[in-house]
Amino acid sequence: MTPRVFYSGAALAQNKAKLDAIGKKYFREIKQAETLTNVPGALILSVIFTESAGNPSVVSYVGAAGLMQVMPQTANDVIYFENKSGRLTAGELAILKKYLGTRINGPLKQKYLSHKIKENNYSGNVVVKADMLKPEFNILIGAMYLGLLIDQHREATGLRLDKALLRYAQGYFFKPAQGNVEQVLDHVKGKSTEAYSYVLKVLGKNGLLETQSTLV
Amino acid sequence: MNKIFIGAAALALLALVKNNAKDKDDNPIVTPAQKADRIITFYKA
Repeated sequence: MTPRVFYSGAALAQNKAKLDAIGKKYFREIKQAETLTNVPGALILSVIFTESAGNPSVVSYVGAAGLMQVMPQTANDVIYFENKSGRLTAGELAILKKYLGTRINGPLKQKYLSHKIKENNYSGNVVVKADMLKPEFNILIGAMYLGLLIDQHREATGLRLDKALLRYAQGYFFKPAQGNVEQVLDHVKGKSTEAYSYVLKVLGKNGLLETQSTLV
Repeated sequence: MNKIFIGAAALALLALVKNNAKDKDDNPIVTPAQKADRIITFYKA
């Protein structure tokens, strides 16, 4: 959390109503992803709000798609990473198979990132945009991705959600600056207004997590 | 003859590159336990 502000007090009621509406519409998918990945539903909902405002059909100019705006290649890589580290659970696998069918063998049989093999038609990726536009698949992949980033930023001082969110916004290989939350934010502020705002929207004062803490 | 040697060298180099292919990922290694035991709380009750 950070005391910095993105949303003014005037935006709180509107944000709260919007969060509530998205949360109700995708309650089952968010709850399922929370249960399977142990990523809090409030964080998943905050990312959906920030990334797509709850529109499952949004596709960005770089190809990030759906509610949590994940690129198909990233989705493939998340499955690969989770499988490689022995973290892909039976529950997650069942849902992924439901959408990917035999294509799931692509990331499961890769030996390294972007490994081009027969199971992915020698492309290094089996996930397509249409997959990312399915809310259940999108939310599960987004939550798995968040969980992976969160676990990569468990530091001696505690969990660094700021760094995990920055990498979610900027890409898996983005390197946040060293230092405490304020130092990291100071550093990114001068480089990317979008990334800086992203963290503040979720973790800042009047932010989406704070707003949800008063929902119930 | 030279062409055969060059071809063989190219194949050997290709095999070496393929064998050395690996993830260029220097992010911390994650474990199943981190995921299974992950508890995140944002606010004190």
